[in-house]
This record gives sequence, C-alpha cells and structure tokens, in this order.
Amino acid sequence: MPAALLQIDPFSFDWLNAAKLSCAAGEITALSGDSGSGKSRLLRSIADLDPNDLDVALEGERRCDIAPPQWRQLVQYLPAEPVWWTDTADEMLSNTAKAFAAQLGISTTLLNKPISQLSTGERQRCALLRALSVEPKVLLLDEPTAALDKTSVSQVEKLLKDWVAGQAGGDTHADARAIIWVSHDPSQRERVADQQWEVTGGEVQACR
Amino acid sequence: MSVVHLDPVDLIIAASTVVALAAISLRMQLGLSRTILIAAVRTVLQLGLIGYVLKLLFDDLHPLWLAPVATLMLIAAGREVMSRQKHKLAGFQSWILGTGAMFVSSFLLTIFALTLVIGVEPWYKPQYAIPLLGMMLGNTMTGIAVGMDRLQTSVMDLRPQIEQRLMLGQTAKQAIQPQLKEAARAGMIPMINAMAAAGIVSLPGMMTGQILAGSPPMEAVAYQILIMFIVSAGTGFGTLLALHLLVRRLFDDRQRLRLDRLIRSHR
Repeated sequence: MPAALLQIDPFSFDWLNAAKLSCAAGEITALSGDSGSGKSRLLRSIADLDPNDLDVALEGERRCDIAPPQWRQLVQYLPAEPVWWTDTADEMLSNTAKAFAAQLGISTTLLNKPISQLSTGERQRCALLRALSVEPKVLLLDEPTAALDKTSVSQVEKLLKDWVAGQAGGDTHADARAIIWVSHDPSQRERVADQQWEVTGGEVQACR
Repeated sequence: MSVVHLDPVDLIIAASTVVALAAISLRMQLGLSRTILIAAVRTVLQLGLIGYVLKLLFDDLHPLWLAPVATLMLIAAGREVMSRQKHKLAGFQSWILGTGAMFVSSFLLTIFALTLVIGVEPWYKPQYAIPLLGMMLGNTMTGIAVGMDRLQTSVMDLRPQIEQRLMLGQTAKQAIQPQLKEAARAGMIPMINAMAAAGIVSLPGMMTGQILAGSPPMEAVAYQILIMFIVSAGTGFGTLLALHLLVRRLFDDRQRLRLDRLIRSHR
C-alpha cells in the first residue's frame, strides 16, 4: 500500500462521523453522497475554512503545525462556484497552468478575455487552472465538471489523472499529490477514482 | 468689536423657519415633519444643557468635573456609532471596540493640542478642553461609524470572494485588504474633502461662529486650521484603529473568516 499523503484521524461531529481516512500519493478519491449530506462542509473543514477540530496531516505533518495560508495553498479547496476578482484569468495563472490550459481546450485568447464574458464552463475550467497555479499537493474538488460538456469533462479527467500522477504535459513540479473529488456521476467515479468514499447517514464510509 | 446679543425672541423667530419646513413636509406627506421637529427640539435642549454645563465649568467649578462630562460625551458618541451599524459583533464587543478606538484617538489628540499646540494653562481649562474634545468626538465618531459599517457590510456581501482568496493561500490580511482599503477611505474621505474645500466651498462652522461672536478673522482662521488638522488626524487614526481591531475579530487564530461573529442589528 502506498504511503498516505493526506491522513484524517477518526472524527465525530454532530453532522458527520468517520473512521480514519487517508489518501495515498498519486491517487484520486471519489466522494459521493446526497446533496446536503455534508460533502462540501467536509472539504471546507479539511481546508480549514470553517471552525473545526479535525486532526489532519499532510505527509505526516499535522495541520496545526502549518501556517493557515500555507495549509490552504497546499490543501486546496476548489468550490463548486469559484469567485473571480481579476479582469482576466490570465493574470492569475502560472506558466505551468497556462501549459495545462491547451489540454483543457482553453485558448490564450480566452484567458485574456474579461472573465465576465466567459461561459460558466469556461470559468470552471479556468478556476481549476488557477487552483493548480498555486501548486497544491492535495486538491479538494467540489463537482469540478458540473458545468462542462462531454469533451471538456474527459479533458479535465485526463489532465487531473495525469497531474495526480505527476505526468501532465508541461508540468514542472512533480511532487507527491492526491485528489478528493466530489462527483454525482457514478460512471465518472468509476473512471477516475482509485478509492471511493460515500457519505450516508451522517457517516463517511469507504466503499471500495 | 461688539457682539450683537441674541435674545430668546430672536431664536423663536429663527425657529419659525424650521416649523415652516416641518409644515410643508407634512403637507407633502414626506413623513419627515415629526423627525424635523424632534431634531429641532433636541438641538435646543442639548445645546442649552451643554451651554449651561460649560457656564458652570467656566465659573471656577472644580476641574475634576471635567472627567464625568468627558465620559458622558464619549458614551453618547459611542452610542451614536452603534446606532449606525447594520451588522455588529455580538454583545458589547462592537461598542467597546468603537468607543475604545474613539477614546484613544480623540483624547490623545485633544490633549496633544491643548498641551503642545495651544499651550493653555492649565491644560484642562474647560473653555478650551470641552469644545475641542466635542469637535474631536463628533468627527471621529462619524469616521468610525462609517468605516466600521462599510467593512461589516462589505464582508457580508463579499464573503465568497474573501474566502476564495483564503483558499488560494492568501493571508487574512491580504484577503481583506480591498475591503479594508475601501472602508478606510469611506471613513476618512469626508474629513479630507473638508480640508480641501475649506474656505472655498464652505466656511467652516466653527470659524463662522467665532467671527460672528466677534473674533478677528485671522485669529478665527488660525484656530480653524488647528482644529481641521487635529480633527482630521484624530478621525483618521480613530478609523484605522477601529478597523484594525474589527479585522482581528473577523478572523480567528487559524485565519478563517468568522462571519458567525457578526449579527444583524435591530434597526
């Protein structure tokens, strides 16, 4: 079994319980469950955006020993509705992310267009590139392909599978990486996931 | 120069203009006439009271009486600040924060002006101390009230953006910088504009009053300049201090945005 990159000690909140959870380096974990079951809240808690006392560790280093901004950069939450404050996507992207853009069907012209003129799907892919720009080790994705057409979905899936394995084209940082991916689509979970968690009855359960 | 004395009849004649305004508002159904009249009555009562207090203080009353008067003024100003907040921190936190910032900046600057600039002997001479403090509090109060309200409202409205910045690894300070900047501007711009427009667009009230009361214009101008400087500085420092303290309460030790600490005021 590969070494755990992200490890969450057993927790019991009034809204969610879980036994020990861990994500191995190079692996994608799919997270499913009904709407309102607490998936987003769990991801926000892992990223330390809401008050919580989870005991999480990244590569063996406990969250409480890492400065909050650094933790959130390394354990990056990508919300279902990302927010932009810059004029264009381009100014937020690293060169590596710009190299990824082409693999998602995002042109340079599009990156330099005013954000307000992009479609929801284009904004969603740009937000993924922006998240990758800050070089996280763990990506917490909240329905990253919800607004995308079939072609874009497979492009995103391919890029993320390559990225987590350190094999994406144009990638200059090949650290150990992991992804937790919230998806409502069972066939997508089958395609991308190395392991699956499901939230049922207020409990996170490993289902494979 | 002699002062033309105003007797109560003169003031009653002046009051008739406000009554006329209230009457017209009533006719036009603006729902303002009651407010106008109450405000006018408050002016008479409050100014009459402070005039009486000042008269007492000027006539060799013990200087220790300054302390309760100054405290009352501070508490009243603190209440004003709170009444203008759409959202506030739970309990007395907002009051303590706003009033504390107001206290530090307006009292320090008033004492600075009294001792180092004007050089009154003794420095707490009520004739100087009370009006100066009053003007400091009045302006600082507005700056703090506007600044705090703006920051609280914008973090409520722009929560997703601030959190998105945090998600991307920004520090709390970086994440709230745009909103902080805007709130500081909102709190300080009126004072900066007043300095820039003084004498051209408007004749400052204090100076006008002094001239009407018989002071030589250049004397009145010198005092007005002093007042504008320390009042602007006081407002600015007070606003910055209040905002700094507020930002610290809006985030916790893990730099999470804690809007659960803000509640809607009953207003």
